[in-house]
Amino acid sequence: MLDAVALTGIGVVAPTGLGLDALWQRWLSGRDALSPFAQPQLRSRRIARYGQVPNEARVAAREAVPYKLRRFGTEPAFWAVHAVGEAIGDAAMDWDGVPEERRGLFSGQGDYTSPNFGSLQRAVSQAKGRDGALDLVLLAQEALNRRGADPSMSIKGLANNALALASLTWRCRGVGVAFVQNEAAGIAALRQALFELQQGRCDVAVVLATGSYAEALTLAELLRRGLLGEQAVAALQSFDEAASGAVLGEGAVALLLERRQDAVARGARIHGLVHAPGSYAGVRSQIELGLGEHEDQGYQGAFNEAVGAAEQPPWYGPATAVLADGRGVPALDAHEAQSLARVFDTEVAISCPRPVTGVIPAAGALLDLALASRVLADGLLPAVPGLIRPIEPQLGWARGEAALRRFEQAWCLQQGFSGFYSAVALTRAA
Amino acid sequence: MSERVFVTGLGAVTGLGLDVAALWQGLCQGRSAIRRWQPEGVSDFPVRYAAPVDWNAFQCAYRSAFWWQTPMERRSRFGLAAAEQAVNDAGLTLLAGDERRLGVAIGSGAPERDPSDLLLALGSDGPDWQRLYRRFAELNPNSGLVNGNDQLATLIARRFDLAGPVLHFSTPCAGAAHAIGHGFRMIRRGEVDAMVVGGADSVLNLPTMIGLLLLGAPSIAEKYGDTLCRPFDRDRSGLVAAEGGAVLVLESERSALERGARVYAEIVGFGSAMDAYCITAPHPEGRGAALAMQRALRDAQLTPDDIDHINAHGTSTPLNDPAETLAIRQVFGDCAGRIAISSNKSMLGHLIAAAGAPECIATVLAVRDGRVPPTLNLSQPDETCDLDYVPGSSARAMPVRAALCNSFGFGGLNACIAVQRHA
Repeated sequence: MLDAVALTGIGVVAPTGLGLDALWQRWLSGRDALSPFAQPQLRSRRIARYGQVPNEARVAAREAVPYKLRRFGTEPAFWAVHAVGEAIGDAAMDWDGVPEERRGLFSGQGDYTSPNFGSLQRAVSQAKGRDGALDLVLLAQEALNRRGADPSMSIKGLANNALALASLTWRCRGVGVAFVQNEAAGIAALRQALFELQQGRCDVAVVLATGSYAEALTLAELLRRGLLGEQAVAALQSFDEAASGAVLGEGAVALLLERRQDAVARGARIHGLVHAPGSYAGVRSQIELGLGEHEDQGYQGAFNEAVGAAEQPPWYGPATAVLADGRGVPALDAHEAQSLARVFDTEVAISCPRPVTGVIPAAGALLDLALASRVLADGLLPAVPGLIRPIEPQLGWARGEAALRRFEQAWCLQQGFSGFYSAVALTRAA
Repeated sequence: MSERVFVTGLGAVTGLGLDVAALWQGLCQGRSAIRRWQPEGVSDFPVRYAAPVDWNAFQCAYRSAFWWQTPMERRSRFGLAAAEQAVNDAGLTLLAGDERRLGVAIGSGAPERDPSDLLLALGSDGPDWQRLYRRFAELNPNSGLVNGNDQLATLIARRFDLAGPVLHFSTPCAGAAHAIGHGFRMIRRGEVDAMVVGGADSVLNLPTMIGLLLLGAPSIAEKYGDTLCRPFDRDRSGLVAAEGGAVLVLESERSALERGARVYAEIVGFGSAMDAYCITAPHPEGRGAALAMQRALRDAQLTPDDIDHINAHGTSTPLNDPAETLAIRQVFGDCAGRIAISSNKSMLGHLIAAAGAPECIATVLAVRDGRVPPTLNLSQPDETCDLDYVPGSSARAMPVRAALCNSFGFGGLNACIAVQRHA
């Protein structure tokens, strides 16, 4: 049995810019923060819109990283560093007063191949023979002797890049671990952080997650699996009969966690109590879109684990809000809605912030948790943006105006593209 | 109440051979997997030695496996083969339990990149992502570019129908150690009954080796030929890259006893710490490494007196070996001099993200068999490396009550696993 831990600091870099408030206000307004898909080196007719981190936020995030470290990092790592700083500030704690050895850092990060390509760009260009084939000898010579490659390419290509930069920037020398497994990475990091805190192996746990889908091969793979619709998708329509595919995005989030008694002792403002996440591996095929063998038990399995792990099991009732995954992929949303219908009754208010930002790798589930803190604090559950004709209409979908209610707990759900189910509860601090 | 965690299955594919017996015999007999190597098509590449898996032998052994035709990276093949060995070794009754109580934790590193894929990424004046995106289907389907970084963890879960936690760790050279350590803790906490843990990696491709070389990591020494991997030696000059995969089955005491499983040893502790010093170099005094070892000891409720052997990270790089020595001195004080320390990398090479897995297996077997493998090629001890590194070319027979296994990674990530003899 595990104690819940206190969420005392939140940092966000999202398509809505810097900070949680911008994201929350946008969700309340029902307007998305998507923009035309306009990456400098990647264009597509099939992908019309994308949740892109705005330029001013990119610049600010880069500035958050010490100059000497910038050559080692990628943009998503910079976002993560910025988000960690914001979370520390939000927690209003004496960071220098926390021994460096007691600062835990747990990261979830997406895959990146862009730095790998970009770092060898000049060398590969030079090594292309007249016949169009690659001369490997020339490639090696160009890369090694003429500096035709980025000396930090190995470091940038590592999926613990964000963890390394954040640990150096914020002087974290405690326990640390990095996960890379797309959307499940953030939850894996959160789960680890909770246990390390509760076991007393650190006094503060910073959970960061960051990722971007603006990467050619990942986009190609998702298109091939039919997840992005048959034609360009103009808006992410979570749980709507008209939904035709996912819209993707990017961003980072950092959550600062403390043991409840520690947070209370220092008089911290507690955004909510985070309970141990439950997870369940449906292990969907990465090649074809289709449900795996165990997926009918997916959410139920995650709930069972989450409830079983909690000291005082958070369960549900009229004061429960659910932030569902709602990726806008008809088959996945239908499966999720059916699962919700099995797990919850109609009194439970269900919404989904995904249409605001698009689907964000690694960070999505933790962004939901950050938003859940505002649901509890403000007593508002914003509607699912753009939801007109819901599938499984008997469920308590939040539509139209935001639902005004004193919520005691919020469940954040995720199934991901890969069938890694998770359920994590945030409850109101007493 | 916390569960005791037993090692009940082992599997390995390394340069020393295609199973655990070959690995363990090779290490105990001081046999080296390091040999002349060159990246495909580049005869004058500065890195001339590596410890590859015998690909022909591996193909012969596994080409009839039903998964052989599935597109996957080279490292995933090694890892999947090792996982099959480990699960078979543990006994298939392992899989008869609740699939939700069985999980996977794997560490692996950067995706394997096929140079011809890089060419597809380029137009006449630089990267042309649109072109690459259109030609996705032309990419090598076995390349890491078209396979998710966590592919191996997913493949293992699917192969054995495991529905518990599926975790992929990416903490460079400490990746497999983190996977083993966190898998251990999940069992100890009672979250799961068993975890298939370990790692697989292959950096023996041109783009990745270029990246490592630009960092100055691999040895390009000429003088020593295939004995250039010389951990703790005065003439150590860099790591020697390797490839392979190794997997352990960790199981709760209750589960192991219920099904009458053979127990190799007990995992009793895990510790991790970050250096927060430099992204490309260890802390010169090994502060993070020392913290990781101290935490593993505390976690295991062991004292320095209890440790007879340390399977060192021992990379043969100028910076790691003295820093690790200082860290061991810091943690063990007066006991440091009596501990038998060995570096498996002197024979296996450095499996990068997977390194901690075969080394953990070696630690488990050292505890079980009372034999500590040697550190090969240690002919001129460095004055900054002044501990007992078991020099020579054969294993030392000695009682090993408990041992530590160290793994330290780029970015300043350190991990340590504590293993104890099963009583």
